[in-house]
Amino acid sequence: MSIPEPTWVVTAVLADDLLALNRAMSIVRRRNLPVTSLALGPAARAGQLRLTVVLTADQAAVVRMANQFRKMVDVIEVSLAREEECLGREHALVRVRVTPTTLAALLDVLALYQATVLEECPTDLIVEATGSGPFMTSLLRALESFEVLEVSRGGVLAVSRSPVPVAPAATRPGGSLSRPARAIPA
Amino acid sequence: MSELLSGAHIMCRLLEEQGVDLVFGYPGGAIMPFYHALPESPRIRHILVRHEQAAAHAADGYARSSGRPGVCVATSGPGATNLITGLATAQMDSSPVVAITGQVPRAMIGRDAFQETDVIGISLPITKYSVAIDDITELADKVRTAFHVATEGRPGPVLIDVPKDVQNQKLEWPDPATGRELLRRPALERGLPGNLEAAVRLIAEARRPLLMVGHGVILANAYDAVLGLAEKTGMPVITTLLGISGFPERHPLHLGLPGMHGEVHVNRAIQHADVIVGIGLRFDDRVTGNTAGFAPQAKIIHIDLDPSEIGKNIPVAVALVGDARELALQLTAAVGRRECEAWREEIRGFMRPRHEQYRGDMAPEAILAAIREGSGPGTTVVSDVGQHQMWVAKLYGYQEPNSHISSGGLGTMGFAVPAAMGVHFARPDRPVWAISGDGGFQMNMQEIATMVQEAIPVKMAIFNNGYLGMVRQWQQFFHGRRYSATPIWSPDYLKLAEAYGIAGYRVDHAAQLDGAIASAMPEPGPALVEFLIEQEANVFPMIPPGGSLSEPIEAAPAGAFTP
Repeated sequence: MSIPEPTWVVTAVLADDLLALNRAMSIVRRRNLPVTSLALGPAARAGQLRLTVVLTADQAAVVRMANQFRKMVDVIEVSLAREEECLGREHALVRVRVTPTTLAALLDVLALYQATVLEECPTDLIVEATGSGPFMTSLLRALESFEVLEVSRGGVLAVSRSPVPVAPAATRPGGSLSRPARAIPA
Repeated sequence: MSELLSGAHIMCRLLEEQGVDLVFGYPGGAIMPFYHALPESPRIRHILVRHEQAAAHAADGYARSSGRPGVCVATSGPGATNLITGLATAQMDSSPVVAITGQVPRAMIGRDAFQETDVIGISLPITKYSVAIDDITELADKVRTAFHVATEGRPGPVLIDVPKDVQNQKLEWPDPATGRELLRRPALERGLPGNLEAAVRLIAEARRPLLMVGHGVILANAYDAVLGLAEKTGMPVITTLLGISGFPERHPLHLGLPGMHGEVHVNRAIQHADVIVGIGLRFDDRVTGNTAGFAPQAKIIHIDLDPSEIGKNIPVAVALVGDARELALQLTAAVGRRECEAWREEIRGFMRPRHEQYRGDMAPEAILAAIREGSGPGTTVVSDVGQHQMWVAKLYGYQEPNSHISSGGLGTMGFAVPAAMGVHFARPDRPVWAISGDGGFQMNMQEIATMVQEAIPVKMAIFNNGYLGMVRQWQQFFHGRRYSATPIWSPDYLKLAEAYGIAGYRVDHAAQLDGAIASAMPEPGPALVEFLIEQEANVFPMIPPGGSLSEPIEAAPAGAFTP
């Protein structure tokens, strides 16, 4: 039985420029790595974007990718972590059908998932929820019986819990430390 | 208020500011304002090529030979797409080529306008940096940034796409002091200080150490430093295809070329080595063969400017990230003096002489010796891609730094003739040979016209065997001799030379070699020499694709074609 490949969270801070984003994503695209989530938003500093990519790959491939990511023009910072070493959250806006008879049950479900009602329309509610990937999937499944009209789900946003340096994928056993001074945490 | 300049004038002035005195290009609709402004910058010489691909290769040849950015210019659409192969070639071989393309006016972008192409999108994966100029106010910053990116750290090609109406916008000359922060990138990483000590210890303890020299040694001007390291430690030296001429070949420590067509003793030395010091190379698959079987006993000390190369292809024991020259000097200062006499004796025992018969005695060795003797010191040899490339790499005997130029990573046929034009302008007083096969020569032979028009005295050699020889060799070895699409007809090259008004010579017997070279060399302009060689000559030895360096093929398989 083969061991499943780990899921990684790659976070990059880029110059606020579509070309920088294009260059960064082409590094991922060229390898055809299975990307399950992609999120982009402003970074802590003005003029910079933060890109969060979740993908599944073996460690050697993902470290190689991150190293090439780091040397690109207008890529300012790259970090790499296993999914379980990150705190990740998704955000969703859901429009769900409501009738006088289903309202109470719907509000119970929303309370259970700590979802907030943002707007009430005559025939539906717009609700907002935040949680881990499985949590969001579970919420959406719970809402199915009420008829979900529209879902807008953002990609995973993540921060690392405590970055642990990792040696490059291909360090031969018995050799000494062999990585550049700025290690990629994993 | 100072004078208003057009975007095109600013582009030309920016080129002058960057020290550019030569551009290779081809005009067209969307780049016409630039061409209108160009004559007002008489310091910049323009070479009109016959195909934009040649402009990119010529800029590449100039860049590799001079160490300065090589510039090529093309119009939008087909002009820009024709540059792409040349840019990809420069990207694979870390060459600072700056491509400037015209683009349709901004209002037309996205409307499938005549000769509109998303050249930024096309070029992104094969350049170090591609940038579109959205407004004249961005022009100076972006052009300066592009030149900086092309030459900074590990060099590479950049592309600047300028819409036609931006070339016609007006602005005052932008003060250099107003440039934006050039590179928003972390500073170059350095190797950990402890790694130098680890490297010194490994070299001191090694019984069978090797030094592998790559293109980085040439890019960093690290010849003396690497020579010093080799001589202090007695380590035998291997030069990769692009590392050739990074180390003098008549030096007693020089071993030769490794990898797919490396000599048997070189590859066996790798397989027996216990320490390999690799400087400025990326352990490409043509060097390593099957990486699982590469240098199984060796601890690798990898010195490279680009941290992403460390551990990319093979595992390393110690990495030193930084300038090849600086690190080689540091390493030389830190290592103890030693010799490797027993190990070198062992390698001498690996050597295998090979005797082959060639039609008319036209052995590649003989042809290359004649070219070397006939053209003298200071000559640069630019090779194309294929069988002759391997012969040119292995048999010429390069003594001078950066005297061998070839398309290594991308393996671009058609490279030699245009790249040699660029080399000429980098070294105008010294001889330049473009050596091609009959396949690659026909890919860019239109550039003879450029050479004639611009009086570029490149000497062209054609190794004519009537086949796409390297592919034919693979067909012979691995496809049961089914010569599918490899026989290739050539025009009468003497008549071709005559049509272009240049000197042409045909050599089909070794006795004519010296005479032909001696006649071609003094020609004030270009000259062409065709060598009729053995049709089914092979490059030996050969590591089969995917094989390990321990499994060389040293003779052609017996038997005729069996479908």
